[in-house]
Amino acid sequence: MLGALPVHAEPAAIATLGPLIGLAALGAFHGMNPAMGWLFAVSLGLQRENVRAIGSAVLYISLGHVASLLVVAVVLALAGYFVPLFWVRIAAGVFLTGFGIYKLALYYRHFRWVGMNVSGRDLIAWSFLMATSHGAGLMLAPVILNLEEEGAGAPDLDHHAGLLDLSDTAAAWGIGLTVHTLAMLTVMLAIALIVYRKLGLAFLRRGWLNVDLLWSAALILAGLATLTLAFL
Amino acid sequence: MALMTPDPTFYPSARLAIQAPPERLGYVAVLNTNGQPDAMSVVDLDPESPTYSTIVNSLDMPNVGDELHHFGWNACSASLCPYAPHPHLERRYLIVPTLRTSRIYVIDTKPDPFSPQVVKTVEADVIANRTGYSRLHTVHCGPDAIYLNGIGSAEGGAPGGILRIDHNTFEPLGAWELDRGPQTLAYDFWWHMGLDVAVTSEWCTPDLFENGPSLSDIVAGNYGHKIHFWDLRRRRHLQEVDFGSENQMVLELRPSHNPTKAYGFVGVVVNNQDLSSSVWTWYQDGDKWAVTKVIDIPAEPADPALLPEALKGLGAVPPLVTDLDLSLDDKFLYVSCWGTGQMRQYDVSDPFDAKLTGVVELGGIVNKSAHPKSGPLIGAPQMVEISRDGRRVYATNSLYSSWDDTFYDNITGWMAKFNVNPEGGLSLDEDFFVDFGEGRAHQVRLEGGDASSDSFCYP
Repeated sequence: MLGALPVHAEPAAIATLGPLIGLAALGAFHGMNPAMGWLFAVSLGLQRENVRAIGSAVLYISLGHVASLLVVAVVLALAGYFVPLFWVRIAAGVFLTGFGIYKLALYYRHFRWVGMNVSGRDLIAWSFLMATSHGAGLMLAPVILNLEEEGAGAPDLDHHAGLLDLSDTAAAWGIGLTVHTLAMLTVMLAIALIVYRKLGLAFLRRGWLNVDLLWSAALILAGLATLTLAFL
Repeated sequence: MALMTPDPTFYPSARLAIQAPPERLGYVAVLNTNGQPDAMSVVDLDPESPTYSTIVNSLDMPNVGDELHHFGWNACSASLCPYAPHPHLERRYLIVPTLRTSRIYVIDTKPDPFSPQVVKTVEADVIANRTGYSRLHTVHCGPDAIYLNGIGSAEGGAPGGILRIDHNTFEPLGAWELDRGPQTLAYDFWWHMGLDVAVTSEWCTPDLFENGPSLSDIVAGNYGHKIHFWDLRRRRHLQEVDFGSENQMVLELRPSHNPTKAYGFVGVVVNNQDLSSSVWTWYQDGDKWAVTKVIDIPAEPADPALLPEALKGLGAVPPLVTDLDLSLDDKFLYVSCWGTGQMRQYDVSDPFDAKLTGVVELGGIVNKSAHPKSGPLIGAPQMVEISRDGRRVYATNSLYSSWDDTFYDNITGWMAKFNVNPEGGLSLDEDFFVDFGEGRAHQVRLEGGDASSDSFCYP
């Protein structure tokens, strides 16, 4: 890599398709988890007897969700700025795997942050807390770190002894999180509307699979993937 | 332990829970005053079963003198609430507080629901230290924890209040109230899930109930006569509503099951001026809560020779409305008159215009109305429970040991069943009668849930 040209290319060009598809898929996965918000949106629609309540709830919930992701992304980027990416991956991977195992054992713990009478601000706060406590942002760690690495450009990384260049990564994960959140919002809104209009409440009794277990498994997988990527 | 789909006994709404299958068994808290421990009895409620209408099993508690009273489930339909969902918990454990000794027993109803077992005991000192409460009474499964209340403080006085226990470990988490305002007395609590509002009622301090009713304190208006409204989210007192000190003992709270509705019913045991009982509707009036009397049941004149010592001087039997229950469709309110011996059904489709649609006479201080399967009955319908489909109503006859003895000599425990006409009206089920002998039967919980066990977050 010695003598390579600086690869400070346009973010759109450097954000490769793979991580973006991964982030979109994870967005869809987050969107389908009732604990992330579509269920709350349905219940508010029913309570207020107004389908518009579903739309506005999903928007507020997405804002809270993306805020939580942003916190994680900033922490990871700052970590990558000061510490070699290898060690960021090791730390994130170990934490994620441990958190997944913890959730697997205690997946049923839920706090009562709000009630049924909620303002937009309550929904943002609720969604932020739910996403954070469920490790929604952390689950994106392997992809985000990859994206940040791609964003900085591998040669550049070498040049900086494995450290990230923040100006490039900001643009990369900006695009990444937008893609993720749009995917989540779409899936969330679709499920909420289908349950509200077509399936009805009775669907919850049969169709509400134990996503919490799936979620814990996803956290563990993300942890292992992050660890693996550290050694590639 | 982890289920892949929600517990089949959880229903998003009361409307859906009405479609639940009929109960095959019921759990009945049985109090013993003969030196034997209290028991949780399993009663066969399946008319097709050869052991129908009998006690098929009885689980003795590990201690003597607990005074089992009310109890509830570890988890219920509130687990489906959208802001704290954990639908894959199981409705499996009965949370059984003791009123006299302030313990909590956790009873496992699986794998064999006919053979429940005590799996955990939380002792009174642990509860007192962590929560500051004693004389544990009502249980409701909430979205985030199991809620209970204690009628007394740790020292046995006031205030009583609400505590929570973890719905996995069953360990007490602490007192619930952050700001209790003027509230000191406690009895029942429940909530409006859709409004984030809790309601609590008042009996009295433990010294006024543990040794039997104090007539002079009733005359003086020293028993509770208020209900309190709370912000369920912020755990703060919002407002008290005073029924006037002539209305003594404001007990059972029955909010509408539809979480979008802002009304409920509460019973007053006795008016100290005319001995009547009453039922009131609470409702939201602007941004305040208000109450209005919707049912008034007068005392019945009686020959003093037929009255117990406490009532001889009064020459009348008070109706003593000690329990209410509201069907899951919010249509029928069942009112037990423990003094006069009646089970009443009111159509409360319009909560401000209760229409009497059925009365069955059973027991009673003077009448002692017989069941076809019994002789004259001692005691009267007291605790009421309604099946989820609203077709069957069960009642037991004991109130509280020392109060039983004030109003009824030699009371023995029994359980009766009433069949409901969905259009209005109820009749005694002549084939169903359970004799508990010396055991005094109190609260009934039906398999899979009933009309006072579950809270719903969806309309």
